[in-house]
This record gives sequence, structure tokens and C-alpha cells, in this order.
Amino acid sequence: MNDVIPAKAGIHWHTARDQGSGVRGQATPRHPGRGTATPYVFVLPALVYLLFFWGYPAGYAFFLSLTDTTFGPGTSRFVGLDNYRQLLEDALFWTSLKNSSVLFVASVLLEVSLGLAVALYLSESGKRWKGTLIASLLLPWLFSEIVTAMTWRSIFHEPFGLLNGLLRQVGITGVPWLSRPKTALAALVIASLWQGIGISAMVILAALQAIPPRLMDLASIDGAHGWRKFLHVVLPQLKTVLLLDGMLVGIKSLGSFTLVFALTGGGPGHGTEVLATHVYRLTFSHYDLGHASAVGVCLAGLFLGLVSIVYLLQRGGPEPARKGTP
Amino acid sequence: MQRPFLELRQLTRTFDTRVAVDGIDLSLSEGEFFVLLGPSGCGKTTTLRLLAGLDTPTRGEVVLDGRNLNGLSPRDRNVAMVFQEHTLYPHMRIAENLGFSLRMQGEGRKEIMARVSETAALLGLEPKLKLWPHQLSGGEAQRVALGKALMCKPALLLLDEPLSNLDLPLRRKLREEIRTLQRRNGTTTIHVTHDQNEAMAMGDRIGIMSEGRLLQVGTPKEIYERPNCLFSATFLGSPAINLIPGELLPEERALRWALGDSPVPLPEDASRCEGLASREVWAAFRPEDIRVSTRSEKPFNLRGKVEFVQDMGYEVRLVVSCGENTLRVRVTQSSVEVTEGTTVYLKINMEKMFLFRKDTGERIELGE
Repeated sequence: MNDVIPAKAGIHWHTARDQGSGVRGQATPRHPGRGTATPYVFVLPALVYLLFFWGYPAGYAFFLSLTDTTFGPGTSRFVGLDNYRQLLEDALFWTSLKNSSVLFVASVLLEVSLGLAVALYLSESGKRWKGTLIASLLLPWLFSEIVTAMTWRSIFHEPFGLLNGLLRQVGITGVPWLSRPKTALAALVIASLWQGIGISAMVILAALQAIPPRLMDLASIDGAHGWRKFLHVVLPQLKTVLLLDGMLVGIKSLGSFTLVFALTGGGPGHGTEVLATHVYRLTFSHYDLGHASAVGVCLAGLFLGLVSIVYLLQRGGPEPARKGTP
Repeated sequence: MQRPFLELRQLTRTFDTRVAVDGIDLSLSEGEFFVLLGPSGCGKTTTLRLLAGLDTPTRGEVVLDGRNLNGLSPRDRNVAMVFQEHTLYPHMRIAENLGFSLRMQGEGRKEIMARVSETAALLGLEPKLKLWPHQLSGGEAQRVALGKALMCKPALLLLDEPLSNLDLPLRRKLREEIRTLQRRNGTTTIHVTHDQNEAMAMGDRIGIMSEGRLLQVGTPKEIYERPNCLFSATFLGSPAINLIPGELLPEERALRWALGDSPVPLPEDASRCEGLASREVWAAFRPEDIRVSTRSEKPFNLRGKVEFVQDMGYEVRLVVSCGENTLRVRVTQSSVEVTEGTTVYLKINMEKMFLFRKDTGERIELGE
């Protein structure tokens, strides 16, 4: 064997091997992370971040909700569930809960269903203005909520706004958009729909395009046509993403503060007060941190409930078709 | 001759400038199991899609059981199809999958349930009815897909490489199952594959397809023994057929080829090739049409060196180099004892040799 290998290479090879065994010593092959703290070190930054920026404020808010803390000088006593008891008698809390719910239901239904409609329209091949349409639908999503609110304030302006100007063309005059509670709530839904529909449509479009074409062929051969194909084959394939999109829209609308605050300010009166603006008012107008924190904790409870429902709905079911599945 | 059950007339499909299916004429009798065999991209799947109504032909027509299918939607054709993958709806249980097409036809619940359990019993799928598709193995999924396709008692069953994703033993098993089931039901079937073994094993008849054209149609034996073109000859057979370049000498009724200096006489009347513009040919012979001896004796007139021995157990495959050329040889195990490097002497059975035109690949008929 050795006579085949050139002498130089042979020496080099031996040296390399000697060095190698010297460096490795008696080291046995190590399984990274087994029985060591290594994995925890990698998770630590995220853990610290979560604890510090999320766990601490959340915990502190919960603690505050059990006290009668106010801004400025004053006592901070533990009052147990008193703040929650007060909530039950707080008419404004119920109003804002109702408004939040209306906003939530309307946003989720409209944004998901219209997003689905837009996605279905876009998924058909050969649309000439596809790129332009996608860009124009996504653009509002890039605007800050303040800009959105200000834009829509001027659009909704009763005598001079763009919307009433257009409505006048079809014979509808003087819709008091922001000065009646019901229309103001509708205005909020419209503005948030305008902002969110693009991203909803994009998410759904992506899922739509991930449906294997073979599955659609199969449906055709099985005699499923038009809406039945949609109902029995397309919709079940989109279930996961529709739930997810609904959850994201829901979270956004439940927590909606900037848009409401800048567009209607919770008014007219308290007609469009939502949970988030209620928290703000309790904190910065009434300086009642305990009470405000209790509302905040309720809001957090709603989020948790929403996420749990979505989680339960999509658990256990079959998986969407992917490459490699039968 | 009885009227064909399925007829394809000049079926053509072009995509922009590319011709995917190029004027296919084909007739199938009822209950026939026909295999379309060709390399990937040859247009066989497109042909199936045209038959199923998933795609529209650019030209030509399809007649099934006396009914012109042109312009009919897939559901009005009474045609079923099984794909290579995505053959089941992932969001439906097996029973629902099986019953889906009947449900779309508006059958009643009771009728559907009865037919589903009937099919499940036929395919031994009863324990699987409540499962989801992702809980099945690949073989089980394809078996369900087959059952699903047969639920509506289709006039024509189209199988688009349904076995390609399965491993070999399972593929062999399912081949037999499909054939048994098909014989029992008598469903006219077109099976598409690129696997020559599958085609030979399953087809009543085979159609060889290449670049959108149907080159040859015949029983597996006919195509193997009498390929009408170079493509058919090279596509069927394992190890592949031997090809040796040569030149025809019509006056001498002989062939000058790369396997020897002196021209070899052709078996019969070679006058047919006199009019040929080009006399460049491929001489082709199957690996089993070569006999091998380790001694230089008559009639073993070709000397070669064994480069490679592949002992398959039931036969031995040799790669033998003769000068510039390499020959694939197939012998029964006991007939010869050789190892790599052995010098051997070969005898080619000239009766079984084919000649193909080098320019067009067409077969040159000799004799008969």
C-alpha cells in the first residue's frame, strides 16, 4: 500500500493524523446539548425578552387590577376583586365591550369573506391588472393607522367629504358618518376593512395557490362543478388559513386603539367607545389605574379565549394537501 | 371487425408552438387494457387529460361507445381517472372519499353507503373506511383511489402513473391487483407509464409514444419482437438492444458494419433497400440473440473481452467489448462460465437482427 502513496504525501498524512489524535485526545463523540445547559443558553435571550417586556407588564397589570392605585400621590391598597365588581356596574364598560364585539364580528366577517372573494378573483389566471390591483390593495396596510384615520376623517366629512359627495351622485344625501353612533361604528369598520383587506387577500391567495392542481382535476372528474367544487374541495383546503386570518383580524380589531381614537375619539358621546379607548380614558382622564388594569385584564382574557377557540377548531382535523401526500 | 369502443381520431394538442400530442389515431375494443408507454414529457399524460376532458384538443376527436366526447365536461363523459399523487381529498375520510362522486351525482345516502361498502369489501378496505387519507400508506391510498374511480362504474378508466410513487414490491403487487380487478369489471382502461416492465406486464396492447406521436401499437410480444422503429426497439427490453452502425451494400446483399472488416451477408432479398437515399443504418439485435463460447470454434466468429458480469441469479448479463463497440449479452446461467477479463467468442443470430434507417429511425424490412 505504502509504495503506491508518494513518500511526501505519506509523511504529510501521518503527521496530520498524529496532530489530529493529539488534539482530539480521549474525547468521545459528544451529543450536542445532552445533559448540558447548552440549549437553554440559546433560548435565554428570547426568554429574557419575553419575561421582561411581556411577562413583567402583564403580571404588573394584573397586580394593579387588584389594587386601588391612582396616578400621582395617594395610597395603593390591595382591594381584591373590587375593581372587577365595579366593572359589572360600569355602564361604559358594557358599552365599550358591545362596541368592541360589533367591531370584532363585522371586521372578521367582512375582511375574511371579502379577502377570500378578492383572492378567488385574483387566483384566476390571465388577469390583466393583477399586479396593480395587489399593490393598491396592499398599500393601505403600509400606512400608519394615524394616516389612515386622518384620511378617512376627511373622506367621512359630512358636508365636504368625498364619500358623501359620491353618495350624492346616486341620490343619498347628508349621511352623518361621524356624528351618529351607528354610522360612526360603520365608519370604523369601513376604515379598518380598507386597511386590512389587502393582507387578508394576500394570505388567502397564497393558500389558494398552494392547493395542488391535481386535486381540482380530481374534483372535476368527480363531477363537482362551480360552487360545489368550491364548497367541497376549495373551502376545506382553506380552512386553516381562514381561521388564522380571522384570528389575526380579530386580534387587531379587539385591540384597535389608534384608529378609533384618531377617527372618532370614541364619540359621538361614548357611541364608539371600545375596550382599548376605555382603558385609555380610565387611565389618563380618571387616573384610575386599578380600574383600567381590570379592563385590560378582561381584554387579555378575550384574546386568550379567541386564540384558544381557533386552536381547538383546527386541532385534530386532517391536514391540507401538500406535495408528497396521497 | 366490430365497432371500436373507444376511438381517437387525429387527436392533437398544441401549447403555443409546442406540439404535445400530435395527431393520434387509436382504437380500443371494449374491456381492453391498453398501456401508453413513453418517456416523461412525451405527451401521454396530456393524451389522458384530453380523454378525461380536463383539457381541450386543438384538433381531432374522441368517440366513446358511439358518443363524440368533444365539448363535454369531465362529469358528462363517464370517465374516471387516477393520478400519481393527490388522488384523495385530504379533508375527507376514506368512506367520504369513496362516495364523493356518487354524492356529486345526487345519489341518496343509502345507495352511496351500500356502494361504498361494496367497493370497500372488493378491495379489502373495510377497516380503513373511518381513517383520513394521511393515515394510509402509499399503496393503500392508491387502492382507495382505484376503488374511488370504479365507484361510478365508468365506461373508461384512465390511470396516470398511479404506481410511480410506490416501491417496487408494492408496485408489482398492485399491478396484479389492478389487472385482476379490471378483468373482473371489464372496464376499458388506459394506463400511462414510463416503466417498460409495467407496460409489458399489464397491457393487452401497448402504444409506444414519443414526442407527441404514437409510434407503434401492438401486443407486448409484437412490439418486442417486431419493433417498427428505432425508438420502439430501444425503449423496450432490459438490458437494452445492441446498436451497431453500418452501411448497406444492396448489390452484394450485404451489410458492412463496425463489428468486422468483411461485409456480412443479409439473410434474404435486400433489394428493397436499393431505392434508399441513405444507406447508413443501425443494425440492432437483442442481448439474448447472441450466443457465447469460451473457445474459438465454429460458428462463434466474433472475438471479445468480458468487461462486466452481472449475475442476476436467473440469468447472467455480460458487457463484452469487441474493438470499438460494446455489446450487451444475456445468457442463461449454466451456459457459460466467465469472469471479467475473459476472452469470449460470440455468434450473433442474424435472423433476429433488425435494420433501422439512421436518418429517420424507420425499420428496413428485409425478406418476407
